[in-house]
Amino acid sequence: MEIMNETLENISEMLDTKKISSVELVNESLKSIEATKDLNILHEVCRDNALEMAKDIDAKRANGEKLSKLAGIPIVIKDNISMVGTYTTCSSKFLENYKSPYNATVVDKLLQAGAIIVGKANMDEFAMGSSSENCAFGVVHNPRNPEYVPGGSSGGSASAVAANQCFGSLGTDTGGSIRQPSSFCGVVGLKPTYGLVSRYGVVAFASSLDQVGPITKTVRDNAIMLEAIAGYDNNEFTSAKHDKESYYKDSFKNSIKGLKIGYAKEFFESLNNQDVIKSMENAMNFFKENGAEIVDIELPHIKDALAVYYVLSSAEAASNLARFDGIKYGVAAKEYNDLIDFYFKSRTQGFGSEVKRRIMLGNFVLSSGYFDAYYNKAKAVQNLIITEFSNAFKNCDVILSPTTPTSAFKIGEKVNNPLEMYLNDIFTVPVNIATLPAISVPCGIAQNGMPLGMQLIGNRFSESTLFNVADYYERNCFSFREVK
Amino acid sequence: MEITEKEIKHLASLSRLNFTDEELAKFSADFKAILDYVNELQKVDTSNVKDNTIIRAYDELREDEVKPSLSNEEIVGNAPKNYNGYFIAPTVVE
Repeated sequence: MEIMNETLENISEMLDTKKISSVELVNESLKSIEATKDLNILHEVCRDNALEMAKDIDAKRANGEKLSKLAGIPIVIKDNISMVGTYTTCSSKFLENYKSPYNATVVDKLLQAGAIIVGKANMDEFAMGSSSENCAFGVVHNPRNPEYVPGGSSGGSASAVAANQCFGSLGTDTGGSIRQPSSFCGVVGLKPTYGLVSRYGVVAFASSLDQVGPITKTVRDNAIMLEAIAGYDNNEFTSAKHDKESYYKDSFKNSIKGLKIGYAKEFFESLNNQDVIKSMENAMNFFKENGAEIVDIELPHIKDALAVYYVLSSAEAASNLARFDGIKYGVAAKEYNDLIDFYFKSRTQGFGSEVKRRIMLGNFVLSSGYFDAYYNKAKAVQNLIITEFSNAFKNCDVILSPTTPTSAFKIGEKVNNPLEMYLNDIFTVPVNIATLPAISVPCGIAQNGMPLGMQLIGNRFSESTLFNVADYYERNCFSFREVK
Repeated sequence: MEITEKEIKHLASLSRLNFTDEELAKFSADFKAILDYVNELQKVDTSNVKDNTIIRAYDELREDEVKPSLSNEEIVGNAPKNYNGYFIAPTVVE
């Protein structure tokens, strides 16, 4: 299974030069999945289908067909992404037996590129959580140390990459759900610009914030995956008409000379974890020594972003989850008095406690008498945050921050304190609130032996700039290879 | 802003969720902590925000065309109870 340590980029080259076949590779991936199954990373393994697709790709390659960089490569997707022939459970008891009759657009795009989807990853139920402990099918363990959480909600997707089960995965990010687990697992995670990647067929949590993105070992691998999944989709009305970019070919300049990196004290003044402080100082020094300029910027309202997030995301979640009535799909109560009682019982049986908490909070902020004080107020503060970021990007190219205030915590440590759990997302949430792209890359190891992550935030549709800076850092300062 | 147990029960009812008394007690405590945190927003001066809708959700809407979609069978097939292409819901009228 040595081969599973490779990067997606190298594996693609090896497939192309026929040093390995896709069938061999999928078999290695399946072996690795089997060897790490105690981590509870995947809910479902698509063994037969994956092997069949691999055979097909090998035949095409033997025929000399021109194939994409992803062709024949094992990939994992989060279990809130619909794929025909698989369960799409969102790690919820409610959808335990749900099979989507159609593919998400990102799945179609991966399949068109020849990627082999080998499994569906466990997550926090309906993507609500920061530890992958709110999973109806058991807690996910961090591959770097199974006593620790992998982060969430895309904890399974990040772990699948860190555990070498696959060469890349898809997660979703509403408030940090790609970047935070990537940071906790020592891998690279990108939350693309809102609208860049279609959400058609992805089960909605908070529609104005949700975005799909890739998790990989390296920045270059990430660019390969983003290129495959980005693009306008007329099945989704928030999809952006943005010109197609060749992220892999065009992003990497191997230089950061003259680059302006924004430093907002608001991201740093609350830090009290020495590991994180140190890793940020190191990163800042590295960037300065390599020709970048650190520019002071002001983002006074990002401290309010988490409160904005909990109001808006819960309001949208309450609305999105209202469709779960036990009639169209999912759990149906067996015994009930009447229709209303049937709704109560089906929903009470189907949803876990965190989901219930968000539905309640959402209905609270949407209820008459509170709507202006909470929902409208949050929208107004969101506007302030967007304006501040937009002013900041007049003076800098990217903004640097830690991805999380600490490295991974132990399983069970925060499970009884929802607010403390929410505070994990304090640096990632402002990005979703402002519809921006951001990437998390490994940047050090904490005292507890767990990886640390650094976040680079870009202006709308500046993914290629993020890739360039992150790749430069990864090649010359710190990379996943140093995370054990 | 304090939230009473009565209000929480009303919210649970609006949300179509049942809670045991024990769950409700734990839930009320969590809920109060979260609301205290969210209430910090009230201190933010937003008097200069004139328009709450600067974020456009979409570029343009596509034409509403009639085209093939999923089959009735595929749609209804996921329903816990279905018959002859229909969803079966609990009796509403006796």
